[in-house]
Amino acid sequence: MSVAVGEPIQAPSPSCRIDIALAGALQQTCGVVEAMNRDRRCAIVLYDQGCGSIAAAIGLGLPQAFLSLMESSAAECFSASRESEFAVHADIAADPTCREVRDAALAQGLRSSWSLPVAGTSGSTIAVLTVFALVQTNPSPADLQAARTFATLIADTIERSRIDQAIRENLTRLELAHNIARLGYWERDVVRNRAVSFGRINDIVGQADAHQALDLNQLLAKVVPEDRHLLIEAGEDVAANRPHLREISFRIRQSDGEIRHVLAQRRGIRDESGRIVKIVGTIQDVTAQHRAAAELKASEERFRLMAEHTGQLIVDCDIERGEVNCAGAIREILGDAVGTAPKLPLDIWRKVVHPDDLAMVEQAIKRMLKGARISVACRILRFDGKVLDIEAIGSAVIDANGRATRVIGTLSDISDRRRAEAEGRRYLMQLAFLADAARKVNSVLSVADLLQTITQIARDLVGCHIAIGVVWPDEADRSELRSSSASEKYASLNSVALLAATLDESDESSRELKGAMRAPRTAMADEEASSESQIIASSGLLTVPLVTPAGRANGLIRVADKREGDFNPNDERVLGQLANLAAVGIENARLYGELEARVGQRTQELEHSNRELEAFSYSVSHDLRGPLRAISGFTGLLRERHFGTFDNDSQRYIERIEAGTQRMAALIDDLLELGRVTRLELKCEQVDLSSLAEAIVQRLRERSPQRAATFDIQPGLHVWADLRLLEIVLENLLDNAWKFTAGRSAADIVFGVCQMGADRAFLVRDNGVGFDPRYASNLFGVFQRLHATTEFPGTGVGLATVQRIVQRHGGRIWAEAEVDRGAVFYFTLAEEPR
Amino acid sequence: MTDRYILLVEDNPDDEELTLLSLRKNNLAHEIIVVRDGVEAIEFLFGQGRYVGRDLSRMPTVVLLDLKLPKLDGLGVLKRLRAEEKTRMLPVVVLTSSSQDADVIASYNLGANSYVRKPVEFGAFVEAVSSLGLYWILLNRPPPMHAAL
Repeated sequence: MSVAVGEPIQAPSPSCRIDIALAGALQQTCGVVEAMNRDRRCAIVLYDQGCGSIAAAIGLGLPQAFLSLMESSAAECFSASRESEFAVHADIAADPTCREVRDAALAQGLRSSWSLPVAGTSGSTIAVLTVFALVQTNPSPADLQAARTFATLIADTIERSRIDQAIRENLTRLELAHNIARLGYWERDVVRNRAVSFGRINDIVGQADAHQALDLNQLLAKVVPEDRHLLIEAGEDVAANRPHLREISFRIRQSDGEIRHVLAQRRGIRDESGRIVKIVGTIQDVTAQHRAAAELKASEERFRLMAEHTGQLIVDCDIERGEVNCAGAIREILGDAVGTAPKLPLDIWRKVVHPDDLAMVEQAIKRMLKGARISVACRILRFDGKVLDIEAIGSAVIDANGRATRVIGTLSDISDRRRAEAEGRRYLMQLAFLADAARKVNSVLSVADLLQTITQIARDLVGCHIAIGVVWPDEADRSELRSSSASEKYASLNSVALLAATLDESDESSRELKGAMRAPRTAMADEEASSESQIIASSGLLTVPLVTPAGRANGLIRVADKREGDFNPNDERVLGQLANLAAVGIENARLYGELEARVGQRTQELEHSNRELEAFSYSVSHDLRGPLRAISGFTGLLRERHFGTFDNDSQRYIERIEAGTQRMAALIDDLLELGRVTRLELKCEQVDLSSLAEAIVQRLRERSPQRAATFDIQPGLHVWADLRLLEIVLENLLDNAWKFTAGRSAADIVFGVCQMGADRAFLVRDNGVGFDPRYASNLFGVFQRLHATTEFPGTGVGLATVQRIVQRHGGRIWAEAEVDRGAVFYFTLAEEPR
Repeated sequence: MTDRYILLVEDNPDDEELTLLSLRKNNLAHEIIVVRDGVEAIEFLFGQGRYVGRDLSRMPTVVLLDLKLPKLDGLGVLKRLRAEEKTRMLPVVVLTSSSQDADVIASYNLGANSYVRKPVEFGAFVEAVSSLGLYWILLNRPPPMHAAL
């Protein structure tokens, strides 16, 4: 709280200066001494009361220069008389003690002197009177008597002057005090009906004329209406002759509209007969104090509200006073038992902090008292015995000497934060469990394995002792599947017993369960718990249906006996999510199972048909050629034995029969080959197509050495393929090229590679007869031929075989040609090893 | 020469006749014994059934064995022959229509000495069979019989 300071104040004169009026009076005294005897000169050395030193030397007939000398220490000889009655120097010229002033004195004609101390009322010396004689003489008794008389007179003069000065100074101080305190003083003589006022009355009241006495009616007019009765009541006291001190507080509206708060005191003064003759009083402008107090109150209120709203306990430890003041969440942090505004001893923390945390807190406090701002989390024992997790933050106020004088700190309840952190950790863990479940659901598991996995995860997910899972039979009439998972608590129960105890068999409604179902833990007396199922049911259950996205319920998950607390909506939510995953997973596992069964069936069918094909091939291989051999054989015999006797037609028939049988044999062989390349297991390796082509070309040349031909084979072409099959491909393609260029004067055959989009395509190009591109799609069908057999031999199976081989290598084959302009066959093979 | 003969195991009379014709062209047909199924081949070779009392010291110089045979097929016959000490080293030439890899591999696996596919074309057939006869009767040195006995 600050002190209101008014306008600047004139300071009173310092006491060391000599008062002009006193100096004049003392000069006149000197004049009287000198007037009484012309041979005399007089000086008064005035001592200063407060300072104890010479304040001034005063004289009338002596020049100022000499008086100045009298003020100095050179004139010590004249003050020696302070101890003795008189200090007499009969011959200044000869007196050794006057050596320092001798010349100055002689220059003024001063030949002798006698000095007398002037004593004040307290007995101390306040001045020294020195009388000089212009002739060398000893003072006469009359001189001494006169000096004594004057000394008394001087003492009175000085004393009176000093009292006057003190009064003046007091009045000045009073004025100053009035100004500072904004205080006014007034008196009313009841008998004479006269009033006087001092100080700031007029300022306070707002009365313009400073000399006019305060009039009650005028004052009342300025007081705010609500407060007027206070003044009137006070006036009644006087009328009723009650002189006791009365204090009232009221408000004044000044002419500029400003409201001033005024504190007024009055008291009646009685005469000997007991009648009140005078009333004295003070009026003080306490607006500033009033405002400051109001502000303080508002500030304190704000602080209290703030402290309460932060939910924190705010402690202010006054180390010097040894007490702790509390604000804010006192009850919440310290408990009900502590009261609303407790003052606690400084070492209260030793009782409040949990014993396990004491050492840690003590360390922190030490650091804080050295100036560190600390923040510690610890447990406290409330006054009501409850344990609370808190966080304390504090710092000390350190004084100039480095001592801690005060500690301000806050204590917050962090139990909720702790719970939230634990909840957060649990949430993360649950997410991890769900992610694990999602992985498991997506991995290939049988329905039974998946159910077991989900059940295990369910138990970990909600943190309980028992989890069971049930998958109901679906349309395919599979049997119901069940799975259980239990903690060591239920180790005595095998899974059958556990399932029986946890599943309520009679409860058919669980099939119709659309959402989660929660049963809280119920207290049950021991004698009631007659069966395992009752025990488990009373430990709290949570059941969620497994519902597919299509809305079909295919089972349920039930958990029981949570490790901590009851099952809550959060458990319900996460278990529901697990159930959704599980439902989808089970659907998928079932579908997968069905697919697998279907694939198995197809594989079996395929194997069966493969075996039949094998048998067919075997039969074709062994039996179809037999009759041909007979036809060919016996025709051959006929030709051998009777050819010469046949007419021309018959000879031609024989030749036709032989050609037919040969063609039939070739067809059979080619078909068998086609069947073979279809069934053959691929044995892939690095195949050098270039050298393979070279070898084939070599064989072709040998077959018809007379033909003119150019072969252009790109070297270094390697593929990852089955060597035997690729040989068939190249054989067929090069054989065709060789065959269809037979009519050319010079065959021009190319084997190479080119880039076709993203693929590497191998090509066999010839300059043969080509074919009509409109029929290109017929090329690769079995028995499809674009040329007459008589023109070019062939069964029409070769290219079908080639296509089959290329397809088995993950590639494709196509051809480009024009009639009479040659043909190009392209084929690709899968690049990666298959 | 008189103690040498070929055992032809063949159920197809056409093939039998053509084979005999081919061998006759090389004057090899005079010592050919024909059996018409696998069981008969076994009975002949081991002196069983209708061949009880056959002089088992006279074993064929070579057996021309068809694969597709009634009752017991060629591979079954081969298996029996190779299982018995007496016939373990008896030269056996598989003479058949099939050129299937499976047949070729199975034959050699069971210990066939040769595998010849019967050509369809008459000339080629005659050529193949006569070559066989000449080779196995005239050129090839059979294992000593006492070793088998």
